[in-house]
Amino acid sequence: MPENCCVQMKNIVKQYGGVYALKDGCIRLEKGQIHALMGENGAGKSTMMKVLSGAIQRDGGEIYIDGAAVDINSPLDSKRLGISIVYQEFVLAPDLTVAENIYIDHLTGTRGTLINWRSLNRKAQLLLDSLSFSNIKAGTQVGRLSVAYQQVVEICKSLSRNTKVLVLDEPTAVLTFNEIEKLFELLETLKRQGVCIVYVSHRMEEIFRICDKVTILKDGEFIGEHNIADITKEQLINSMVGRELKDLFPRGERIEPGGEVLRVENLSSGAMVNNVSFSLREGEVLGVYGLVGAGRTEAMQAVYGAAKRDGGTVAFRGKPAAFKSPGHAVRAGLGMLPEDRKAQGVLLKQSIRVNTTISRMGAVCNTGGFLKKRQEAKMVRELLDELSVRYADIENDVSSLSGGNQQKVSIAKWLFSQCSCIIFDEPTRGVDVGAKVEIYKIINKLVTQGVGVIVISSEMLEIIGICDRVVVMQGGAVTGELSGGDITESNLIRLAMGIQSC
Amino acid sequence: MEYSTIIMLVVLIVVSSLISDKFFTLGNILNLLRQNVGLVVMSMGMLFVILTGGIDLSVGAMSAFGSVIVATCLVSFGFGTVISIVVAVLSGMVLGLFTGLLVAYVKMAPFIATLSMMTISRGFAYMISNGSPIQTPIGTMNVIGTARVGVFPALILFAAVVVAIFFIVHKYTAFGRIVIAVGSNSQAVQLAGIQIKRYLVVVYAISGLCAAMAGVVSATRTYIGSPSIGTSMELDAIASVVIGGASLSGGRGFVLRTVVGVIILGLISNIMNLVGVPPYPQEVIKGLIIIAAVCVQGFTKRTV
Repeated sequence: MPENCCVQMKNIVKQYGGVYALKDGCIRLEKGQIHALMGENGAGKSTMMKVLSGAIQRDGGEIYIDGAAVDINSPLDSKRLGISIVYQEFVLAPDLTVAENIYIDHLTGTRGTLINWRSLNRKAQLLLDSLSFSNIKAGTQVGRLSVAYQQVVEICKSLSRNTKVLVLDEPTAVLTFNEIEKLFELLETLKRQGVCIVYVSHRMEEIFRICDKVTILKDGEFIGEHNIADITKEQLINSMVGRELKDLFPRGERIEPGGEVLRVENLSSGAMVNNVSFSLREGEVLGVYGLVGAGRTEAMQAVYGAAKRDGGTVAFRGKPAAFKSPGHAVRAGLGMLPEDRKAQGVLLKQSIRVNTTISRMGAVCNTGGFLKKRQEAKMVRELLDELSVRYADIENDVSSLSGGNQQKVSIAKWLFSQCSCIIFDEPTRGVDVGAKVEIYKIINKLVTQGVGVIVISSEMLEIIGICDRVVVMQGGAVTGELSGGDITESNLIRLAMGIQSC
Repeated sequence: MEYSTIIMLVVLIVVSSLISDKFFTLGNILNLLRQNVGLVVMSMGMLFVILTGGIDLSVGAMSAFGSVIVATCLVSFGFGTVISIVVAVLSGMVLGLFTGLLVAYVKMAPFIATLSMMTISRGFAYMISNGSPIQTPIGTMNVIGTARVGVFPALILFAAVVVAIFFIVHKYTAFGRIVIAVGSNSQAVQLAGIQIKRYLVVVYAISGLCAAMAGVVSATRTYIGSPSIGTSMELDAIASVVIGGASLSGGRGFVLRTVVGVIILGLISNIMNLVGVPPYPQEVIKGLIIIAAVCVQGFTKRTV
């Protein structure tokens, strides 16, 4: 074991009722390094990190911290050993302040039974300042912060405890350009301080930018560890899935766009949407790009009827369509896949069957409102097979599916509703490489059938890869529109930051 | 896996039969069922409200309201039996509709909205009856209360029909499914294009209807319409629904198991009466058994 090694996990096994989430999980972490952990969903990455952080207990294998074998039976054990984890879904209390959240498990300090608010807020602000985030104030309610800043608070929580190992699970999924840059600066600072960082992510460009090493898992097994400098992106992907890089963004055969499906003019809604205009034709994939806070989701929610419109017009299939609620939109043929899959996109505790048919129940009921269950089951199974959803039984809860398959069920709902236009808000967020490709193929198929598709995305490669046209938003307004060969990284960024493109 | 409620019932039946030989007689069982017809009907309405993640504290007061309305129609207005019952039931539905509007459109918390309706309904009941019970004429309520089909009291069959209707709606209709979905995640259901406000209003209207019906049932057994009945009956209804495996946060609940919950509650009182437990300790024991029943529910849910 090298001198610098602070954590080693060997042959970790974890099973859930006969199914192995991990068969041979291994990783070797060194101080002052950023170590990427990659693998498809279901490969065992989150399981392995949960074992390390004490959230679950391993069934077999060993863990060594600084050379000594340890047993991590609870999150408290791992915290004491200096391990911290920041999950994709934050565990913050939105009604409490930043300082309260950071020091949530040691509010009263090392002595005393009463909280010293002045000292608590001061310590918290010092911590934030030292990480160059002084614009976050320690007394702000966390629920009012943007998602990106909430993540900074989460990281501070870990840092307030003298962390040796910091695990970040898909940290940039909810960040955009500027924030990602700041996060990377923060990680470099921590690296210099000797912290070991585990970077669990699907984002190739980022991994190649800041990580030193990468460990690959596949189907619960350790495949290999490499220095980033010694491996190429193609080789990485091949060892993860065996697929070639060029297949990552299949475009398929695009048809000639047809008639206009949606026309939005001078849309304004609340504080976030000021002046948005765009149009969409049948058979087109329109991308909506922008930095966080640009108002993309809010604009589409206003079109869909999920948020109040203050001004502007929306025309759907040529007719004025001032949708007052999502119900009106769905009836007209417009569907929207929300950004937050778990809270808004699916009903986690309901069955796959219920989730698939809920937007068009008329199709599976007779006139009395009675369900035609057998017919429904048939239709649902056909649709799920068409979308290559991996499931055991349509009666199982959606929560039993992996993230990618949950997203496909969310998409299945709109396909079942026979929409002529679907808005996808971050369709591949938190979805593994394999399922991402399948979702792009689904989008391709939709447009060849004449459906109009809007894709809100923060991933530039995704936008460039699958969109025919792109509108870019900044500060609640559309700053520009790109099509065909003009859709380039530099054009997208310049428009997103409000710099006029030539 | 979902048999915990039934197992509890079987255990209680066995224990009761061992404790008292008067328990497992046709007369006692029929009596037990007959006494709980009102609560069964009320619990059906409560179940649907709880499925949406809400609660209805007004049902006890609304049953008093229903019993007073039916008696007043018979006595003061001289309406026929059927019409009086229909008026009473519809009045309950109207009050429930108002509650539903408060919850769905004014966006009041169900606890507060139904707490207020509880006081209002009780007030109406006292106002209409002038504070005293109203004797219903011979040949009206007593006919229904004593009617039999073979050996079974008509009231029990009526309860069975009501339960069957709710069972079918819960399991086999789009309405039932959406009610469950709304309680499971109302935001996601709304974004899926469903107008959830309508479903909320209907669910509280149904609860009001069932509560008033329970009041009418009470009138058929006591032959009077009384403004003071049903106090804390809403708690029995909630307990039955929860013993039947429902989640108070919504999205989960069962018709038949709620009925078993009602029977379990009734059985506890029944056996304690047969054995001669004084009334005050009965309340303590009943509460403890409810705690035990819900714990068993919670335990089996976690192991599933």
